[in-house]
Amino acid sequence: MTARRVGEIGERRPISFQFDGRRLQGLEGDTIASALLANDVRVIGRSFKYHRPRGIYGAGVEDPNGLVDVTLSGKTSPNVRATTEKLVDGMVVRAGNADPGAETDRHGFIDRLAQFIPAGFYYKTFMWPDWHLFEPRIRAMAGLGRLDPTHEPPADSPQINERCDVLVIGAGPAGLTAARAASRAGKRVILVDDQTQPGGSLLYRDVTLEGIQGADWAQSVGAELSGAGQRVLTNSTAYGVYQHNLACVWERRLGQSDALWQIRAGQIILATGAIERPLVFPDNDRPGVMSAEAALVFLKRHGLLVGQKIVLATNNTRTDDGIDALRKAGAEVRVADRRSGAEITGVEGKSGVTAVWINGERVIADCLLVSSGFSPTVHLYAQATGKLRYDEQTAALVPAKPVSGLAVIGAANGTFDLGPSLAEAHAAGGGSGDVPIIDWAYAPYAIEAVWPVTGAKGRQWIDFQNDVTVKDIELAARENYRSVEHLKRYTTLGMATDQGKTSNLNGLATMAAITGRSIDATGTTTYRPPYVPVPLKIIAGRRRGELYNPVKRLVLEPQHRDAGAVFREYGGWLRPAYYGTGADQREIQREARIARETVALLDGSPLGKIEVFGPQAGAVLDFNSYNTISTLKPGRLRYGFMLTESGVIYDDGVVAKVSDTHYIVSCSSGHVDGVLMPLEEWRQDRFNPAEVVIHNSTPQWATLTATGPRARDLVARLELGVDLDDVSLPHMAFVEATFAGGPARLARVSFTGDRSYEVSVPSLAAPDLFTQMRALLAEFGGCLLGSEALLLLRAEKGYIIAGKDTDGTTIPADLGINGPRDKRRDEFVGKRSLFTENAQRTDRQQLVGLTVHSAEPLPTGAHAVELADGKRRSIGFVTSSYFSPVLNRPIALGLIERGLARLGEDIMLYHLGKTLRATISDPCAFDRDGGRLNA
Amino acid sequence: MRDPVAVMSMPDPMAKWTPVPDWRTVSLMRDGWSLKPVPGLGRTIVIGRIAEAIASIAPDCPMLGLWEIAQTPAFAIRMSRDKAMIVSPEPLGLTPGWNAGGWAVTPADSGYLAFELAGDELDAIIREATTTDVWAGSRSAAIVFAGVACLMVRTAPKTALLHVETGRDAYIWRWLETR
Repeated sequence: MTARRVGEIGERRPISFQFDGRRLQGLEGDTIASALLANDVRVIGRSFKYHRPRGIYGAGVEDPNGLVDVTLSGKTSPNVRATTEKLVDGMVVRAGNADPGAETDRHGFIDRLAQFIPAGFYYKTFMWPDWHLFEPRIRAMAGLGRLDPTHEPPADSPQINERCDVLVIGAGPAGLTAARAASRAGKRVILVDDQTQPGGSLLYRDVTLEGIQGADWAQSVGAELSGAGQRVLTNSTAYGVYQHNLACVWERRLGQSDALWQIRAGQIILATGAIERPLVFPDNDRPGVMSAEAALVFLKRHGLLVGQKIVLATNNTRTDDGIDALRKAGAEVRVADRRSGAEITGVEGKSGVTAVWINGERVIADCLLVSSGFSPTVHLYAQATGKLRYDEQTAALVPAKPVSGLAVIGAANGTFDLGPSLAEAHAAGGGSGDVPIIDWAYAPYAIEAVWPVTGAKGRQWIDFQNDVTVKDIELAARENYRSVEHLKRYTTLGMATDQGKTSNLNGLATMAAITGRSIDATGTTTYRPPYVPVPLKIIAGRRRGELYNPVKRLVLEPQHRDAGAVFREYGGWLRPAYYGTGADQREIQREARIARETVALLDGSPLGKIEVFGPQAGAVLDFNSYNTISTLKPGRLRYGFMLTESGVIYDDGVVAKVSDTHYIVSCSSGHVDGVLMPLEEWRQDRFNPAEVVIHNSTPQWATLTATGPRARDLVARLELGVDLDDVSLPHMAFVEATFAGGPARLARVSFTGDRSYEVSVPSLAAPDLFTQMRALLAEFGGCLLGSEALLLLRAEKGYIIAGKDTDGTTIPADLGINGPRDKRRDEFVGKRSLFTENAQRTDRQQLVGLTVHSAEPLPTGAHAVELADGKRRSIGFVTSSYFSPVLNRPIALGLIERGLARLGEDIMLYHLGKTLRATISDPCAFDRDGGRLNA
Repeated sequence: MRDPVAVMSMPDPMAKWTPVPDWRTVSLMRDGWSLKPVPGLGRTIVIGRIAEAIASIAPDCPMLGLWEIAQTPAFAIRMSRDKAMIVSPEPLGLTPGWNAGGWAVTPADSGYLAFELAGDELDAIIREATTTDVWAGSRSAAIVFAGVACLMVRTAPKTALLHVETGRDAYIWRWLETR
């Protein structure tokens, strides 16, 4: 192959780049592929399985061979498609799947072993003695491209939601005609095309429309659309059509991050053209065998003549103007037309075509261009559930039936002649104005179908990227993988990054011939988005780092930061884990100790506060709670569980009754939405929505909790206007108060087992309250309390954390709480599940304490085990484990089989290869009589 | 040989999360748009028979849906079929509770932060922030903005008033700040 530039370079700036270590030059406007061709680089990569040398075949997304790794500014991107990637100064390009390079790949010998590694070989080989022996090596060799772990593209791709009346995908002659007609009819139009400018085939075929040369006509229509306020997106690929006419478009933008457009269209018009199919013959994968249309594209759009002595093998009339153009550019072109009986029987030249065999005649050549007809690009239509049929006249799969809201026009619809294509397009766009008049165009399309022939000598390649041959399809048929779905998966035909754009129809036509079925009866596999590989960066958009799964933030976060808080994420909130600059465990132990000795201050603001109002408020809560709530007196609180319908503890919390028509559900901070949703659902489905309403007031209120023996003394100093004696405010009661002239609520409820007061104020008043309470801490030798110390204090008391000390199976009986199950006569969520055989098994995992006799706490998550027949069997696990500063020893909680009946029993635990021992004990390790609540 | 993929370690929360801005002083001025908190507004949630509730609490207060323009100092924002938020220049100071007329009231002055998002770029920002066709309007002003449930009305043709729950406000600010 002796590719060279022809025509004037003009003002195209030279661009320097490297390929496999060679310094080369391209020109502004080149793709990587056109620049390589211009430098007469014939071998640009190695095939996936056999490492055969491969060259550029196509000119666009259909090319199966040109996958390269590109390093730019020190960052490497793998599997870049050379035919669509613009050449940039300084690019370092490496051949795909080749080491050290495309010409000298050290794995090229594999091709000599081809007969031992046909399609599906990995289902039959590398089994003995153990497939694990071979797996690492095979994995190391599999895959394409090299990942650069340092290359983390910025998460700055915008995702833009847009709407229009008509979305036209494809800005070739048909698409432009449809878009113009729709625009002239007053519709809001978006036109999308993956090239740098509208025009499609008008950019490389000689066509004159309305007295203007095709490319100029395209530009004028584009200008009319833009001038009318329509949106024209170039360099943009529509890669998926989803439900309700949502189309996703990847826009490549120069000088800024690419964008994802999510377009919702009243009507989608697909003018996506067609892709040229290769002829199939022995050694048809040699570098230098190219698509005839691609050669025309390279000539007309890049000024590149792909060869000097060209053989062009065809079976249709669409190659006629290409032949003329190549000759005019100075190439000798020998035409081998199947319609006249000329058949390619072989190709010579491992690293580039040197000769072509035509009907037994050896013809010297440096390039073989092939055309077996065109396959309409129906992918988006099929994604939208469109069905295909085989058209004998055009030898193509074309849309069979209309899909609501979607029209297919032009070559994509199998309408290959320009006149009918434009008429079709004009009608699809609404028919406003005139159909463009054709002054000059290519000849009408005629084709004589040519399909791969089985039983021939030599290897005939169907899928270049995945190395699938005709023989592989024959093998699949012999082994009874005859359905098109099995054919695909057994041979991997069409499963590479090109998704079979040049191979699918040849493959299924081959299987059709083998199995004696029609192409229609053989059918196609399912088309799924994306139409082309789309960078994950585009799909992820800006959702990364703090914009991905963001946490909620405390109103008092600035104050906590000032106080030296170290933050962690808890239940979807960013909260202080502990305070101080020392080692974390030292600070946590300090806080827990001080909380028990005097007083500590915790920001409990994230705790849920769901208000339930109305005459049926009590009934809704009774139905959604394991405990009866409505019997509470106003001003009182009750602890209880919310169960799932399976009887599993979903959340635990406290409900406050303000009045018979006003309750406040205080649930776990991470479960607010999970509690709110079922309450609202049952409110609407079982109760009278006019008599009960629900609102999440969590953000409205900040809650600061003073806990410890001196807690009352501290709270008394706040002058909240309420009596704090234990008669006026007993444990599990609350009162309305005032703080700084505004409303406040004071509740006695304890997370720690010590006397505790929760002061709730509107969030805007929280900074003042925090300042006062924090200043008072110093007087009492108190401290701020983070979440880690809180968890420790709770564990000392055996107070559960739902989801940590319970799992997806834990029911109230597993905690020893059976009263409501046994006594309640009314219905509540989860009740029936508490009486199932499973719920009443005697070997259920139950919450217990675990006492260790060493200084080291048990590892959380360690499994309690027993030996059965010499094997370990898990009987539960450690759910919480800490070193208790007040007890000066480790404490732990766990869910253990029959735990409540095994108090005092020694058990074995196993964790990361170590065996440990513990004694089952009461979950409450500290202050078992609960006297500290009122101390 | 394949290159090994780098093992990603758990990010440090202290480094990952940008501190919450000082809402008293912060503002953003960018090409074509600006953003600032709007402090001091009163917000009162009514639930149930909201027409009766509004008539009782804030007579003649117009009810706004999505993207509608508030033309009075006090207005109600429709949240859902039976929930609305009365926005007033100052808090109304009502006690939460159930009214025999079939509605509940509860204050939300501190429960939300309002952002004013204004400028020629407003429409472009909205297109990035939400899939909702705000220009088509809706009876409910509730939308998902940058992935978070918010309430959005306007105070002028190119000025949006976005109510964001306290706790989510820092994220919305950061999303716009890093646009």
